Amino acid sequence: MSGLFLTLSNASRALDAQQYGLEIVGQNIANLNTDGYARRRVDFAETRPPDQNSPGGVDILGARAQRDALLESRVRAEVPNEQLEGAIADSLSIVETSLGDAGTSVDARLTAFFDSFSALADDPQSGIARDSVVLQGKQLAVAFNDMASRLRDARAGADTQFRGAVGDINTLATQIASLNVAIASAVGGDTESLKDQQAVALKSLAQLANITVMNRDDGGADVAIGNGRALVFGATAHALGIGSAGISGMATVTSGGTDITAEITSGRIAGLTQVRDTYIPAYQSQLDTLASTVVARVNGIHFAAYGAGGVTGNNFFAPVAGSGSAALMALDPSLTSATVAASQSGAAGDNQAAKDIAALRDAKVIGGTSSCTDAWSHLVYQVGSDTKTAQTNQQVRHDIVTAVQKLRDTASAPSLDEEAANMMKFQRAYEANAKYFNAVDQVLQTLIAMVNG
Amino acid sequence: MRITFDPVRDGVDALNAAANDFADAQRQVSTGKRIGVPSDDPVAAQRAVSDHAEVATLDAYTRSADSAHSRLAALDSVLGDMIDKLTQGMTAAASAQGSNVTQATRDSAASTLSGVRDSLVADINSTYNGSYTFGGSTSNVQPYQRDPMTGAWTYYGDSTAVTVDINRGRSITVTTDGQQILKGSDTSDVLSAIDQLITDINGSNPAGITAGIDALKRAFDRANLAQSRVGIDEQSVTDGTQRLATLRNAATAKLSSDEDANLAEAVTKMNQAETTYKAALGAVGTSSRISLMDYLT
Repeated sequence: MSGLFLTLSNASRALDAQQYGLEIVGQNIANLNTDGYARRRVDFAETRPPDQNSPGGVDILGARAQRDALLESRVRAEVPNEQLEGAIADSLSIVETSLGDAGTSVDARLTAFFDSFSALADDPQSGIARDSVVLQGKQLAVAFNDMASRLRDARAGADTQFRGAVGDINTLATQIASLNVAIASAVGGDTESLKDQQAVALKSLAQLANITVMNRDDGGADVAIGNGRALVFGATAHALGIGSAGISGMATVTSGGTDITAEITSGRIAGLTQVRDTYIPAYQSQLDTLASTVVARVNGIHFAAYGAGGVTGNNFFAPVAGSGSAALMALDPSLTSATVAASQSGAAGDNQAAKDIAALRDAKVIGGTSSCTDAWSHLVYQVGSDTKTAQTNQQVRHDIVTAVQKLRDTASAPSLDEEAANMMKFQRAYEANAKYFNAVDQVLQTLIAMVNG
Repeated sequence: MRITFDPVRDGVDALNAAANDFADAQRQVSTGKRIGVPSDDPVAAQRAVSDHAEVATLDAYTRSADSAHSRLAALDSVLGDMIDKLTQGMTAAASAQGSNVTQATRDSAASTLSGVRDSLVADINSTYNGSYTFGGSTSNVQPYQRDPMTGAWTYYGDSTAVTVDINRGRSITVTTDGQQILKGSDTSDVLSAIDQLITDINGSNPAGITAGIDALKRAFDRANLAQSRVGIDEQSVTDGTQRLATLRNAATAKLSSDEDANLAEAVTKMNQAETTYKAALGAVGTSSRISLMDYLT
């Protein structure tokens, strides 16, 4: 049979245990909104009694984080695809707004330009009509210039984000390496809060690129990027570099001096790469084709035609071809109102050249299948369709990520109701133990009084 | 199964979706447009570009048709005047025929014919907006000019017909070959014929007067034919303008169906979206207030 002092000691430890339980509840509640926090659960164990006639007490084994490595790896696996589509959708949303509304953008300028030649054909000797042709030609060139500039800016914006994302990867890699050191050196100590930070950092990293995480025996994590390129190995973070891709000057991501841009197939960086290197260049190419075709076809007619006073052999637009045509489109420096050509024969009243240029509005000049307006409308459709597809894919991926995240939270996230219940449980247990302590204390007091009496 | 209920996290997606629907419906109601950006409906956005271009093209053709109609009306008027003058010339020349014609009658006829010739010259050299309309494509040179030394009439225009497109595949000739009216297949133009006729009247040359009257008659026939053609073209332009108006109405209706919002539908959607948004807000607000904490004492 144990002594009353042992009983008192057990009651005291029980009070400590319930207090610890309350403290853990407090920690869980405090971290209700902490991203990546895994709820802690207190583990108690019965104290082995000194002999069979003595009562046992309670011992605190510790607090364990309720972390599910499988679900956390699923989150990391789904996040990159969501971010890839998100990066595309975000960037293309900017591109599509820069296209302008139908009937007010490049299409309107094309129409106004051909209208001006139509008006010149109605009255080929009209000075006002010639002035209007020059004005509309200039405005058409400016419209192409502006559109090319907006696409160039959108591409440069994607490149800037790309560079920033590479910097973020390096920051996160350094953080994960530091956490590896901290986790390894805290063997035997509480590493759960460090692992929470590690999980958050890994998830953030997965948002940027396709990574592979290998758990270390000491609780740390090694990370590879792309096709198995070491990013974090133990305490060492292998920083990625930023290179320059040829004449475009666009950034590339390098690992150990090797260009690994093509190896980044998901995550925000991959989305930005697609926008920068695939989507926008395709739009630029379509715009350049449209601009160079307009220039070539108008010049083709205009050069052979006659302006006021019988001048001939003048281009309307400065010749351009290939990449950059839209950005470089401009009136020919020699063009004046007088050199605007409307006559094919040289006769002042002949309007055939003006009619031929006006008729280009309907001509299938783009690849023999599309008119200028068709080409512009196709560009509008392409951008709209690409944006909508990315938005839809992003929503689908977002739903998947949300579902997986809920599963992870089901296992790991603190629940306010659960913590409230636990709080009540520990509070009641504390009160009971306190009463038990008080009862034992009173028995002791009685005994001491008997001895003194 | 353990449930972690996070009303804010779960509710934010619903709030975003409802707010997005509400904002979209509100935009449609306030702008009257169904499409805000191409991704709203890429196919409709593509069609809207084509629709706008089609309306603008039809407007351009309508302006050309209106301009052509004005030019043809001016031509019609001038040709009508030429016909009157040629009739007047034939009448004057006929009065100088016969053996009992007095000198005064011959002088009067010659004077009238001289006036007719000058009027014909003015008519054939008439302009529209500063361009000569009877010189073919040579619209900047006076078509008929008399050589001050020899007195001979020379045509400086050409036979090229200048046309204006008033629709796809439909064009209208807006100039006239003046020589075709005044000379045709004759060996000399009617102006020279009138000059000769005046000489013949003054010289009492019956054969010359008869030949001159015949030349006036042939010019009269050619002018009549030209006016008829202009009249037909005028009618054609009028018909074409009406057709363009019909096509424009159809194109505008198509544009509207592609681009414009159905306001009744948009307002209904806005109300629905508002209700959904309020419900989502209420759900998040209500669920956020419910907790076991509220029941612990």
